[in-house]
Amino acid sequence: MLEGDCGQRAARAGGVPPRVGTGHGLLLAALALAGAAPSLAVGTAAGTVIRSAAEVTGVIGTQTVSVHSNAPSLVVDQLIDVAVGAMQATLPVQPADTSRSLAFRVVNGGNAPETLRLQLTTAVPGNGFDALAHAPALYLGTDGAATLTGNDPPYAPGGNDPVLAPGAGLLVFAVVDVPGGVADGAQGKVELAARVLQASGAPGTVVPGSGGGGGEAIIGLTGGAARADADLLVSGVDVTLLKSATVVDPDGGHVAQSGARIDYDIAVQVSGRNGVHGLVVSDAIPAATRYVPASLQLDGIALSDAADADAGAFLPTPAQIQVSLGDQPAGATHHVRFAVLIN
Amino acid sequence: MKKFIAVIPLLLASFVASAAPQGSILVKTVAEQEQTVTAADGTRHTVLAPAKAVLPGHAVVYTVTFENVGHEAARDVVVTNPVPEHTNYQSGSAFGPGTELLFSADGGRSFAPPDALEVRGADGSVRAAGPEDYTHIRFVLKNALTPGAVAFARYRTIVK
Repeated sequence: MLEGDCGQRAARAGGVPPRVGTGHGLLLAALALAGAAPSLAVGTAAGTVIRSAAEVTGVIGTQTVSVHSNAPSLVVDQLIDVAVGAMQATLPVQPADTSRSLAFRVVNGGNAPETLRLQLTTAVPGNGFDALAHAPALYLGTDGAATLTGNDPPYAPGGNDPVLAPGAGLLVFAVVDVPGGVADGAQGKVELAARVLQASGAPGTVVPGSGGGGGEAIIGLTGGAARADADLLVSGVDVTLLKSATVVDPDGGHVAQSGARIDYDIAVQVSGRNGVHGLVVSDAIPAATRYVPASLQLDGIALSDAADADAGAFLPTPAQIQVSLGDQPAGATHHVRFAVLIN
Repeated sequence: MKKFIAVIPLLLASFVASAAPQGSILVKTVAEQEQTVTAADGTRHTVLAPAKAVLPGHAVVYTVTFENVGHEAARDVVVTNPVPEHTNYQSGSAFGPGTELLFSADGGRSFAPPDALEVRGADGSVRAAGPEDYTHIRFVLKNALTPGAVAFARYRTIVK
């Protein structure tokens, strides 16, 4: 904005041509920079006064004269701009996951401090499923850690709207649950929106007199509001355990009576998209039975009862068998077998 | 009413006193921005207009008009402009008919053409000065400014 550009006296002869060369379009260029590169230095602060006065010296007759011009002063206007980005484009989740957090980064791309209003949306058009937002659903990453910590305060719109210095960024964490029963491969977007409270609207809109230091506020390319989304991808860990039992009583029959032996077979089936990591199958020894020592098998191969190098173990307290299958690809099938005696 | 009549000449006098400096040269600086306007016939033109949106990255055009309002020619006329704080000189933008163009990169202590300007870094090394190093722009009139003559010089800066 031009301020107090009162020249000393208009030149009598109109010697100043009104046109100059290129240079228009710089407004858009500057706005594009501010919007597209949120971490850039945002430049001169709004309200800064820029002054310039020329000095003319010359020799008239024998006298050297020195004259200063007026000093027109410009006030740097306020650029209103905000950017939002997801720190992780896709977060693998499983059905019925709870308290999964997604990190977003919100940046003030303008040249004045701005107060931002944040909003989380989980019902995004096109979603395969909608995540369930916690209440509160957003946390402000004020302690600088890259992940949500207990120090990060919950966000309350209108209560602790973050105020960001020019160029400053803030991590914002969204906390959501994944509904049960969502299909493997389903995607659900979660969207964080940030809006500059002072003004938002069409890019280039001038908000007269609202800039710092008497300047104007001008809405940047993002419109003073921005949003970004992150995908929750149900990444298919699906393990099916099918347990069957065969009873052999001391008389050679199949009556579940004292002294009868029960042989269990647990069929393990891994499906889904990505297999499973660190799969452990455990099964409690039923009440009123006792484990038959050295009966544990994996895929027909005996496993020792001790918790040792092999995959299996019998653990007495509480009585259970445990078989570590480790990483298993989708489609893997295994059989765990063991036996008990009815007391 | 009488009081007002008495006051107005005083105000005028003080304005003239501050606006018309000593000597016979009048100098005025105007800060403007380029704006695109559409004429009635649909053609678009770039014109200079009062600064409207001064944002980082924007250009500001300074025009210095100087006039010999005396009765004697002024010789060795030199117009010196500090590059305003918070701005950078835009390379190649300085323009003054009938002038030689010099720049300073040391706060106005020395002036030279762009290809002869150097700056010393913090480590003592010397390198060629770039437009962002310029601190002053100087226009040196090649001819005397005759009585009644008006000349102008212009340059563009970019707000940091």
